[in-house]
Amino acid sequence: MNIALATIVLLVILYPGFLFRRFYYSAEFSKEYFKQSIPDMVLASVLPAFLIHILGYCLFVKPSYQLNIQTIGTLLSGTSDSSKVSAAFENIYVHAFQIISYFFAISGLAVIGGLSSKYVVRLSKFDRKSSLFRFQNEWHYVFSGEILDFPNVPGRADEVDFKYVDVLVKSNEGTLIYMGMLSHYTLNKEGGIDRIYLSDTRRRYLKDDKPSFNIDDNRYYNLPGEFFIIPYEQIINLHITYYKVELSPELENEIDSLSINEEK
Amino acid sequence: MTFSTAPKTKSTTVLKLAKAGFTQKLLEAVRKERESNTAEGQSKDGKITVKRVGAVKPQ
Repeated sequence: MNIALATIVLLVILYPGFLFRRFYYSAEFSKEYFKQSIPDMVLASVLPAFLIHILGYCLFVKPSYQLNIQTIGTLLSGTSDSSKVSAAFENIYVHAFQIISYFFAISGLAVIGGLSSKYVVRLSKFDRKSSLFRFQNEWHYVFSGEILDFPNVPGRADEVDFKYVDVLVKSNEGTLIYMGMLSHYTLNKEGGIDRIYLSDTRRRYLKDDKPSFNIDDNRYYNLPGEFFIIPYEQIINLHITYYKVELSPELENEIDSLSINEEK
Repeated sequence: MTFSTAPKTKSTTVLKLAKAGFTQKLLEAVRKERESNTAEGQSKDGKITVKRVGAVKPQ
């Protein structure tokens, strides 16, 4: 039995499924694709590959060609009968152009399908409304504020203007609280946080806790600079507050004409 | 709709405030909100108000 050949043929057949998932889990959710083991990746690609092949068959094969199931069956069966394998390869060679064209076409379908499925899920907010569609990058939902759109969570993500974060960090001189506006974060390969970037940060020792805040409190030490970066391994816990900003009409007019270079 | 590797962390309004040099006023409002614990804080000049999203305002 030729298991190696059958495996290669199976991977080629499943390849549109891999491609679909690669583009579905793209950009902010790409870690979810890569953190899977190979058997998980293969299993999860079966259904999308099957659907893409059905669509590809209806669009590109059925109108113009006759599908030779016997050739596919021979290659998938892993038979060691060399005459059957040779006949199958001969058949593939004769129709090589059509087969390559078919795979090009379904690759396009897989890419468009993956991207558009993600687009539909994100745009309709299905991932926020139902855990069934939720991506595993939980930090994205927390740091973007999209967690506010989850069922039974008060507030709305589109109201959030910025996030203010309190980070409890261990140090040799005691536990510190860093406070600042969230500017950026990076994830590690397991999908957890690697570092968080704060701006306009200040810190104080946790032991200096007292019941009320005071703006001119001398317990605080300001940390000037663009970003204050904290490696996640040093963090004990995070406290995040979502804020909405309202401006007086005169200030609104003042900043209205300013242009900002934002990521597109 | 944008697909970036990290979510947008600050809105255009906040970025414009920063560009115009109003970040300290914004932080002033944040500290006021945290001090008063009423889910709402205002800068000393009253030009910037911050509200905690999702917070239930005390009656």
